Amino acid sequence: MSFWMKTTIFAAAFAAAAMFGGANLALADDYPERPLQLVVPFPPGGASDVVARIIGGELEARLGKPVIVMNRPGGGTTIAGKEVARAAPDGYTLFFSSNSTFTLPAAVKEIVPYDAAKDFEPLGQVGKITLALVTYKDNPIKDLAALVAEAKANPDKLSLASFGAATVSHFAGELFKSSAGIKMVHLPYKGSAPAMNDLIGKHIQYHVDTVIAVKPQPDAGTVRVLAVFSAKRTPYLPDVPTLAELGYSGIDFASWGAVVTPKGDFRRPYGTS
Amino acid sequence: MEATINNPTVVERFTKVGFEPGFARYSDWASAINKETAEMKQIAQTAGIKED
Repeated sequence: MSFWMKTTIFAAAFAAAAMFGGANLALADDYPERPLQLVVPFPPGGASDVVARIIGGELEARLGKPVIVMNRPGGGTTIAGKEVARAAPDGYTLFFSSNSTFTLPAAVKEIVPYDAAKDFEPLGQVGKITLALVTYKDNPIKDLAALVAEAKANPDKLSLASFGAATVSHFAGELFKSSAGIKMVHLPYKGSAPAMNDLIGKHIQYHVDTVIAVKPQPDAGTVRVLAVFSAKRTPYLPDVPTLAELGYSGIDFASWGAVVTPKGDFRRPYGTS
Repeated sequence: MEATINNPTVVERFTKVGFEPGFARYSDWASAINKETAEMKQIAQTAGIKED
């Protein structure tokens, strides 16, 4: 093997070790020698899929091998979680998901087909998607204080939709209701688009969705954003106050994303340590 | 992974789709996951959130 080849391979292995987060991680000199797969628990085209493809493209450029995004939707993300948890910990299976996989299922399901705390090895949290509380544009209730007052005066009369039962949208709404000490009727939808359509059509009064779904609406003048659930204002809606600013200081909730691998020691398959 | 996420091109592409980039390493993944799961379980029990 030439000096140039050794140097190149060492550089690739060092880059991979650095990428996978630890100076103690000693992958084989020839890693990666085949394509990697990046599993996503959602169908193609959604925000998570788009983010995963950005990550996959960058990893591919750095590692010099294809990184194939594998969409494995279903089971509220647990089908993909189970598949990755049982995959070989050889450094060739990566998983991009969120609290929708790692914490929410165990909070609501009797049986989850993996233990997120034990079955995955984190490469790192990579970012988040902020959630927002919205209403239709000409709702006479103009701000959060008025909403809380109205809900206290009329328990279980106002509706608060989510883009799905037991999703981050649902949890965020319940967190707000609990913090405010109010009761509103939860309306679970099958996805963001139908909920947003019904909000714009005034069939529902309030809704929690991601800023990705919400952002085009105030620009188009169709909805009003009352607050965001992040600790700090989001650059996507800089004029919208946080719930903390409005008096609910304990609320800092988002859909966070992380890249993980199956739990295990990458070094073992290569016999390098 | 940190270098991947902090690459300016990646940051720009994330930002365009509404994803707020921010790399963070877990010092103790299991504890972090168990803590958040316990918090979510409490919210679920209080609010009666059940699987779909």
